[in-house]
Amino acid sequence: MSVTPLIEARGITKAFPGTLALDQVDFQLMPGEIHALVGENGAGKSTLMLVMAGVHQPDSGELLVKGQPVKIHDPNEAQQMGISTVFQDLALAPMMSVAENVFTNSQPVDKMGFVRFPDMFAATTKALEQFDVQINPRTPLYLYNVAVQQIVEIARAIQRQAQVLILDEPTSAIGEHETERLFHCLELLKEQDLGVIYVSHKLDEVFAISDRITVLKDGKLVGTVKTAETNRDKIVHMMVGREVDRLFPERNGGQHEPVLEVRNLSGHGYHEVSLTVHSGEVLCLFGLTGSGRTELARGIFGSEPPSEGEILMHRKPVKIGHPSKAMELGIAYIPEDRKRDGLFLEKSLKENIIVTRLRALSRSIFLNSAKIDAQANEAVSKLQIRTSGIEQRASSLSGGNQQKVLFAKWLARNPKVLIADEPTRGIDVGAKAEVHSLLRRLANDGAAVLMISSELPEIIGMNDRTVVMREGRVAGILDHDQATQEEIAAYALGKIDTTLPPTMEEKI
Amino acid sequence: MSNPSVPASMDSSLPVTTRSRLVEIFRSIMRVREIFMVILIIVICIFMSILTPHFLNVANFVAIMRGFAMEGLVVVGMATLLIAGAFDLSVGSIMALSGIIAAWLLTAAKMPYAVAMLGGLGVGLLSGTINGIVVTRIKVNPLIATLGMMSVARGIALGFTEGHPVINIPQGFAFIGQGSVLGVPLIIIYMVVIVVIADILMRRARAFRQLYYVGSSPNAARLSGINVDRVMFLAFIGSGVLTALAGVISMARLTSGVPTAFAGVELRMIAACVIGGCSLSGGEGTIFGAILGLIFMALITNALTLFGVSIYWEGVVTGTILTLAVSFDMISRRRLKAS
Repeated sequence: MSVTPLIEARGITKAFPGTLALDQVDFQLMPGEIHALVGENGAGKSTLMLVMAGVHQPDSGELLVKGQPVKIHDPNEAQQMGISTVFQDLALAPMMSVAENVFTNSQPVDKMGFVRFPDMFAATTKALEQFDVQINPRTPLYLYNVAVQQIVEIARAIQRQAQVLILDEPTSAIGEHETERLFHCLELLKEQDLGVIYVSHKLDEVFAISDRITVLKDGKLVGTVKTAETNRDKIVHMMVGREVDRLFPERNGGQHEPVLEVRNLSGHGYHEVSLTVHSGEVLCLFGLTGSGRTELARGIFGSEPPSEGEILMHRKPVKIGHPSKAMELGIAYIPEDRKRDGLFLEKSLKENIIVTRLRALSRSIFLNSAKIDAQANEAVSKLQIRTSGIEQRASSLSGGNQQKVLFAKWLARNPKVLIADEPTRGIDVGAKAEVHSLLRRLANDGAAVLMISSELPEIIGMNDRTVVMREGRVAGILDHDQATQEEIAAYALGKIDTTLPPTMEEKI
Repeated sequence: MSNPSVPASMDSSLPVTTRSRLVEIFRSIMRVREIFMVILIIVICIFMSILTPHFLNVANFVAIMRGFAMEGLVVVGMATLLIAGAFDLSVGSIMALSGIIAAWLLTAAKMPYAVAMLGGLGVGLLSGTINGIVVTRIKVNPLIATLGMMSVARGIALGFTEGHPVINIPQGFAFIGQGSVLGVPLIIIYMVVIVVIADILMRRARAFRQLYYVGSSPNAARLSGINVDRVMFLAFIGSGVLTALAGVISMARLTSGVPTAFAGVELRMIAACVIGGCSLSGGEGTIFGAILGLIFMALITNALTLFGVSIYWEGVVTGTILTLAVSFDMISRRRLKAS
């Protein structure tokens, strides 16, 4: 190839205590290329990304930037070489203006070292215009949503003359619409001959945007292929090393008895929502960011009690003013943000699992440690949580195993209704399949499962019925056979279900 | 399964803000705490002028300003720290100790004025350095680090003097705290000059804007090439020196170094900053706003005095106002976010 790669890794090896994270990995990024980096969790893609971003130093191997061998000691040095990283946890100053975030510590200044604010605001407006977003550069950043903040980070990278942009799971916190806009931004950057490294779990996105795909597995390079010359199954095969002919567990039940009924429920972010979850079914709930799906789930669970409407459990009206009430009724809720809302990260796996059953596990006023250990161990073996033991801290588990801990915590209560909000976000393919079969098994055992997801393939594979929400309202309810990706997306984007009566009452 | 990607029907170019321009402008004005504080202060002044004839005259205003002038220097330092995401509980003790060291150098050691002044400032430099090292190097929480310093500095002040005030400060030195130029007390001039300079620097100078980045998100600041630890360290030193300066000048004004003085100043200063728009989580506030918070608290004190209410009740009023101010802030922010 005559063009010099923007960045090249040759034989990168990096070991952490106990694991060989990268083993002789090669990687090349060309100008004007969007290069996806995929692999299961623990495959080494994060480590490779962090090596190129200057966060980690390789034990051996060479990094070349534009053909020159370099050593990158920290992210700052990487930036000076034109390598900018947009981390999954955005590195922004939320209280400061949009402009000062685009120009973090590089504001235009006069001779005295004073910031030239008018110039900075003008430059910011111009920088953001190219991404088709109109944002007031003076507004504090925290007033905008994650999707806009992400674009601000990209604008900052461009402002720093980045030639290599590393995106770490960029769509994990944004909806499909924002994803579309992000892709539009990336296409623009590509035209300007930037190179983009796109680290993602979502193969659909990888196929939609990338030019080449590099697959890692267990720290080793499996291969780099042109996106146009491969397909999804081949990539999955490369990632997991086996043909995944059927990703989703077989559906067999379908609905029996209504367990949870929601009638004209309104609250912050959702209005007049009616839906029913039956025992034995997996009801999927789809909506773009801002559609109110998470707010609805939190409303049902009593975390932010709804302002109006009715909730029925087993056809009896109930009032859920607090999560403890929901738990009494047999409702379990696995939140969207595992680390923030789900786990006690610094506590042991054991303590995380038993928190929902403190009363049952105590004798008089003291906790019974034998019972606790027994239950925790049982959960670990039942859910096949890969851990060194029940005393391991939750923060040190992989994403998929953390999610299993959350399931364990709720399954211990034998829930009648399980609400799982984005249960497979940010976990690897293998763990995803395990979560899916877990949800299906629960439904088969008679529980009512409400699964919220923004990944269409997951919904297609899992749903017995699908509810689509848009702008806080139910836009449509689809049976399994009707629920195609096109149909769901159409409802999410504005199609109105004419079969729904005006009151949005659901047919049973 | 077909390759779904993203449905092509989605519109890719939507503006993000749909708020009207006027609403936007109004909102951004209401976000500026200084404007709110100025209005509040004017309202209080109008009320006071109506309610008591003793309020609206130059003598009372000068008295109020002399009362909070030296606290003003401490507030500048405290606001700087709060913006960077830290705070300093040792300021009251440092004021007392620096005054005592300067007073001792003047009286017992018979040192020249400049040496006494430098000695006093040295106390602030040293305590700021220690606070800074403990917080940024050893990573001790500022609450603990400065709580320790608060106790140590107060202990040295008391132990060193056996609890007795250091008196007989030379007249010449006392002029620093008591003198006036063209009828304007010097201490008011010090405060105004320092506040104006500090406010301009914090608003406009790139080097000082780093404090906001550090307070907003230390991680983001670090990844943007800001040396977070150094910025924080320098903020502690700056605050320490300003506090010591206030301590030495206060000692000159009172012509004695009192080891038990300025107890509780730290919480009063943090309260003033927070009322004026700073946040304990960092990244927010301005020097001007913090000073307005201090003026507001001074006005409340003055009002209680003029109405003959015992000064002992002051804490009830300022505490209530502090909690109310922060509560309103939280509510309005939640609304803003929701819209």
